Amino acid sequence: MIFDKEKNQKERMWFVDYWAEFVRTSPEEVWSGQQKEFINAVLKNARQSTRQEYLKLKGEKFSI
Amino acid sequence: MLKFINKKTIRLGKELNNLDIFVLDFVAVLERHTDYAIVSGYTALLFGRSRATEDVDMLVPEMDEKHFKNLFNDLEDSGFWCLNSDNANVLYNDYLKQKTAIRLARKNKVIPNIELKFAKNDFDCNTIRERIKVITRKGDIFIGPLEEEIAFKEIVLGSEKDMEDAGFLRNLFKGSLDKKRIEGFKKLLSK
Repeated sequence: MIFDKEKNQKERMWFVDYWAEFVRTSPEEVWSGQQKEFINAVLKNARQSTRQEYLKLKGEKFSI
Repeated sequence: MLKFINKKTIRLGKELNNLDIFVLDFVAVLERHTDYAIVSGYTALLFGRSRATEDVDMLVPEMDEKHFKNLFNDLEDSGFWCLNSDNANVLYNDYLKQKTAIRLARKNKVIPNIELKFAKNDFDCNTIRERIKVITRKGDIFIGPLEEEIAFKEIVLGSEKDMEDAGFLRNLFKGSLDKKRIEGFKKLLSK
């Protein structure tokens, strides 16, 4: 399978511009309601590891 | 619509999500002790970018150890903890003074978290000095100047995600951005 990175990036940027235009021209309740649903769902489903595990994943240190 | 009240103030009437609430709760404590400016990915998210983040980058002016301990105690009393250590002395001397960020979250959670660091150069200090106030339904949030944010993402960070964030901010704030200022910062950051 060949992955066209350039095409993918163009498609992604198209959506970024589309969404920015939507945010710029729509009432705040409309776009922010959608954003709220998305972000709240992501946070709700995020795995809460221990702080040591999290820092290890990030390559950062934990100190007693 | 989000609205510039003046060059340094934006009114944002959006419905706040749980990441926004987390930030507002944190800065309510932080600003009792110091100025700050939020930088990086959360800025785009605050204004509606369609992605999530698990951390929020925050710059504060360098402070002395006593001042930091007061801030840290207040954060602990307000239901936050530090992921890196529970020892304020260690956090100050082994992390912040060594130009290493510390991460703070609600107690017993790791996500989302605030990545807090001292301003370490003129660019950082300027970010705090020239910060923009964003007035939300439940309080104010201070962000770094948008032109700086865009320049930093395009020149220093440069990942796909950062270029998309910069593109989002450019499009959203077109007509309000100082393009010469962006180019000036980009030249400075390229050195």
